[in-house]
Amino acid sequence: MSTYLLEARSLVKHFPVKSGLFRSRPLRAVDGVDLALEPGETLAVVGESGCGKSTLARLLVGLLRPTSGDVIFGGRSVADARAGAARILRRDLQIVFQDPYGSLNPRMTVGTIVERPLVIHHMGDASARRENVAELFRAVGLPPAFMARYPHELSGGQRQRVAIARALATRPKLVVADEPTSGLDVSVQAKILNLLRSLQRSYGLTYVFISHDMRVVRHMADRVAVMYLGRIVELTTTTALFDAPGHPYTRALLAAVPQTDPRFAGRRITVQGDPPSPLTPPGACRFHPRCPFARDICRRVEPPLERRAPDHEIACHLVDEITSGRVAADLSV
Amino acid sequence: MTQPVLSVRSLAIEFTSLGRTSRAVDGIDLDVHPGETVGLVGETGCGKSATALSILGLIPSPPGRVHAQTMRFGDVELLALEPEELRQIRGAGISMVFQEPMTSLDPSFTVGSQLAEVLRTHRGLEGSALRQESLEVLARMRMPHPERVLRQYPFELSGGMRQRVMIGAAMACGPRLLIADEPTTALDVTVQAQILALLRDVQRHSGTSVLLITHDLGVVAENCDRVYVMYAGRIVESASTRDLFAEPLHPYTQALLRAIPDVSGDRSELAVIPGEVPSPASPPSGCRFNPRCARVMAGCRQLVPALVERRPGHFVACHLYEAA
Repeated sequence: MSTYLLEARSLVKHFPVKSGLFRSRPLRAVDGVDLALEPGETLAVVGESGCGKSTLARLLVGLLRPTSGDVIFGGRSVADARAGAARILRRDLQIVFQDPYGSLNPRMTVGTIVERPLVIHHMGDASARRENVAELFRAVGLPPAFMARYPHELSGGQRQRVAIARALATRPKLVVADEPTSGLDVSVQAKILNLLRSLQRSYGLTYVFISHDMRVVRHMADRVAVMYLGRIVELTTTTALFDAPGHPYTRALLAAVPQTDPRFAGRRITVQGDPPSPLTPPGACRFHPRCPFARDICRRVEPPLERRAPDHEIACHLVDEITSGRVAADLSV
Repeated sequence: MTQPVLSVRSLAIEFTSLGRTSRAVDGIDLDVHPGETVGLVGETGCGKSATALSILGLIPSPPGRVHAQTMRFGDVELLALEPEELRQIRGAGISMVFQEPMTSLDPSFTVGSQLAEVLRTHRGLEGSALRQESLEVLARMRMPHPERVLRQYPFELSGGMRQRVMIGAAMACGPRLLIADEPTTALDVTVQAQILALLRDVQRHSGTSVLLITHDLGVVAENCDRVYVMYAGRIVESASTRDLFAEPLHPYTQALLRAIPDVSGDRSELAVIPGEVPSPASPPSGCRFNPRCARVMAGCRQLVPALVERRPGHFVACHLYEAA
C-alpha cells in the first residue's frame, strides 16, 4: 500500500485534430507522465503554453479521461470511476481555473455558486448549507454579505476568491490550481498566494500548482515538475531546481525570468525560437532544436527521466557534461 | 539639454458614459529624450494605455476627451494637427506595437502585403525595391525564412513571430519614437526574453526612443533607462531605473516591489496592499493612494501631493517627503 495521496502512471492524453477531410492526427498534449504526490505537499507543474500542463491538471481531477495510463487516488482509479464512486472522488479532488470570470456562471449569485457543490453532494440541509457557505466566504476573506452579488459585480481578485471557496466547499483533500493568478495584477496576486498558503495550513490541503511563472513557483512549491511538450523533463525539490537546475530547458526558463534588480539585467543566455507545436513534436529529445548544448545523440535517442541525485530526476543525455562545464553552449542555434 | 522627442504637460483624459464622466488620466507630465527607453508602469486601470493611445490621437471621441497644455513631438504640437497630418506622423514619426499581435495584424492578408502597405504608404516603395525592403525588414527582426514568411498569413505564425512582424513593421519607416504597449505580455517567458533583447538591439542601432508600457517591474528593470510609476491616473514617482529600484520613495512603489515573489527563495508571506484600486469615476480625495497607504497621515486625505524632485532626477508625489 503506497503512502501517496495521488499517483499518475504513464499518463497519456492525445486529442485528435483534423488534418484533412477524413484524416486526423493526434495532438500529444500529455505524452507519458508519471507523478506521485505526498499528502500535504505542493507540487508545481511549470512550463510554457502548449506544454500540456492544463491538460495534465484536468486529467488529475478526472475532468478528462486519459488515452492511456491511469490516475490513482486512495487506491482507486480516477479514470475508471463511474457514477457513485466518481462522485465521491470529485468531492476529494477539486480544481481552481485561471480565469475566474469564465468559470463562474454569470446568472447565479456567488453565494449560489459556492453552494452548488454542497447541493450536488447532498451535504447538509438548506440552512446548514447557508451557514457553511458564509463560513467559506469568511475563510477566503470575503464578507458573507457578498453572497448576494453576481460575478460581474466583483473584481478579478474577489472572483478568484469565490472560485477558491467553491473548490473548498466539499472539503477536498487535493486542489489543483491551474494558473490561479496569471490574469491578476501583482498586488492582487500576492493576496491570492497568501490566501492559498494559509488555507493549505488550516484545511490540510495538498496542492498541484500549475504555473508558467518561476517567481510564483519558487514562492509556493515544495517540489517542481518542469514540462516540455507533454513530457516531464525535470522533477525535483524547489530548492534544488533553483539552486542547481539540471535540464537546459529549466536553465533557460530561469534565465528568462525578468529580475527586478537592475544589477542582474540583460545579457544572458536565452534559447532561440518558439516552443514547437505539440502536433509535430521534434523526434528524440524534444528540446533539441532549441537547445544550445544539443549533440548528435540528442537528435537520435530520446532521453529517459533518470534519477541523478536523491529527489532529482532529469531527462537529458548531457546533463553531467553540462553541469561539469565539459560541453559548451552553441549560441548560434 | 537636448530637446525631448516627446514632451507632454498636464495631460488629462476623460471618458463619459451614461452621463457620468470619469478621469482615466488626471494631469500627468511625461518626457522622452532621444535614444531613451522610458518605462510607464502601473496596474490595471491606472491609465497607462490611455496615455499611450492619446499620444497617437487614437482615443475615440466621444466617449473620450483629451486635454493637455502641450503634447509636443519634437517641434510639432500634436493636439493642433488635422487628422490627415496626424496620420502622416503615425507610422513614420511615431509608431506603436500592441500587446496582442494577432488582433493588430489583419487575418485576411499575408504578412507580405501588410508590410508592403506600410512601406508603400510611408516610403513610396514599389516593385522589386518594395519586395527587397520587405525581406530586409524581416531579416532585421532575425526572422527565419523571410521569403516564406512573406507569403504566410498571421495565423500561420507563432505569437513570438507575429510580434517580430509587428516590431519590424513599426520600425520600417525609421520612427523617432516607438510606443510599445505590453509587447510581451501575451508571450511565454523564453519568447519574451528574445523579443525584449530584439527591441534593445533594434533600438541601439536605430537610435529610436522607446516608451515601454508594462505592468511588470522586472521588464522595466531590465529594459528601461528611466521609469514613470502611475497609480489611479496620476504619476506618483519617476526616476532613473537604477534609482527607482535602489531606493523607491513612494509607498505605492515600495508596496508593489514587495508584492513580487522573490526568486532568491524567501518564502515568507508576501506583503500586500490592502483594499483595491479605486474606480476612476469616484477616486478618493487628496492623495489617491491614501485609503491603501500604510503610512497615511491626516493631510493625505485632503491635499493632492505635488510631484517634486527629492533627489537629482528622482521625483515623488507624497506628503511624507514634504516635512523632511
